[in-house]
Amino acid sequence: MGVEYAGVLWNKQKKQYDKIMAFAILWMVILFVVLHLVFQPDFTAETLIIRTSAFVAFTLLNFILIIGPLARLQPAFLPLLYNRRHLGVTMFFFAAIHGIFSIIQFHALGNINPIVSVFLSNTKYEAISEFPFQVLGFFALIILFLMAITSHDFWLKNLSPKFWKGLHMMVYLAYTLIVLHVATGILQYENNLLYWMLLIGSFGLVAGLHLASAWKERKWRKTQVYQLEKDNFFEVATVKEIPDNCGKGIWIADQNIAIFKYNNCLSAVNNVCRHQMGPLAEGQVVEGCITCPWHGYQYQPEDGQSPPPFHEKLETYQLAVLNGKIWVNPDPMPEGTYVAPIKITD
Amino acid sequence: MSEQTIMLILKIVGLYLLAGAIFSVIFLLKGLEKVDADAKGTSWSFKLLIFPGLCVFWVKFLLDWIKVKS
Repeated sequence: MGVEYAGVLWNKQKKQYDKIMAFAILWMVILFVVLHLVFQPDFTAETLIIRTSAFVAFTLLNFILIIGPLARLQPAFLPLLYNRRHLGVTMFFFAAIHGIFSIIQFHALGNINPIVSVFLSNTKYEAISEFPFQVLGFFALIILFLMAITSHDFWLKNLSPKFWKGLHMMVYLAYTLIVLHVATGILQYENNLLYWMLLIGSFGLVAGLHLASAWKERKWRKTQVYQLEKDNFFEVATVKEIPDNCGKGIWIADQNIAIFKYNNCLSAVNNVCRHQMGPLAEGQVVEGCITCPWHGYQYQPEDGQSPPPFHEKLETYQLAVLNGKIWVNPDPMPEGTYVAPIKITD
Repeated sequence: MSEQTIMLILKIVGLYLLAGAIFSVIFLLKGLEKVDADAKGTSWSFKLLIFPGLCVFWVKFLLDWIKVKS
């Protein structure tokens, strides 16, 4: 929503989020190093750095990937979404430490370029136990790098939300490459069942939560059957079922619509936040503006526009109220079109 | 893939990023505020933050800058 960019728009919540994150990472590092020194004391400091940074980066990546589906399954997890961006950049830093130290330790001591060595030191692509896993990690790191350098809102605006979202969805490709990198790399040398269980368990958790949230969404959409149609208005809800200053999301005629009740009025806008596609219906009307539950982007309910001097706009929809029932016309009005709020009379 | 082919790709990528770095310095000094009005009066820490991305996506900003100028 930024009319003026800043490095980081700090607020109390973000500082608290980052403090908890730093504390958790510190404990992760301490725990991993101590356990490593106890059970495998023979490794060098470089190896310890490589393994610790990999452990922290992979743990953070798993955590980052489960936040989205967790929040969709249970709104109590929504606060975790709020500053996920800092988690992502921190994860990249640990992944970069792992990548750089690995290249220095394993590829920089010969007489060929270290990057070339990543690709040519092992070319057994047909093998499983000796697969050149470094290449998988290298490409995953490139994706994470592109994501980290474009994590600011400046990039969301200038690369366009569609391109930006597409770029950041590549995290799933990076995750797949990393899982394969771990499975064909370290797990081939550390033949320990516990490591395999941790890898399969974390992958199963990420995949399982995504499937569960997709199933919930699909199930919800199937319940969205509105047949009472008059002049292209569909009966979708009752006035009473929407609490004051709250919204209700509906899916009708391929339109994702959020209906809000505020100041004894009703308005409807597109349910998808222009920032990062957050579900607006799960947010609230704060100081007269619909406020996205993910990052606090705001829109005026009557015209779907962000309050001046911001520029974001949503499609709006026509509503009608009859005998306490809400009717909506699913044909969207152009973004930012004023639609007079419907007064609730009874 | 041979060593020569990989070296050639690395050189092309390196040259692209070098050109991007040179463009980005000029763009941050003279073009950023013209292409994105929201970037008016932003701090150097913000500019430093977007510098790596500009080095990668510089062609897009070059085209935007030309469009604004014309």
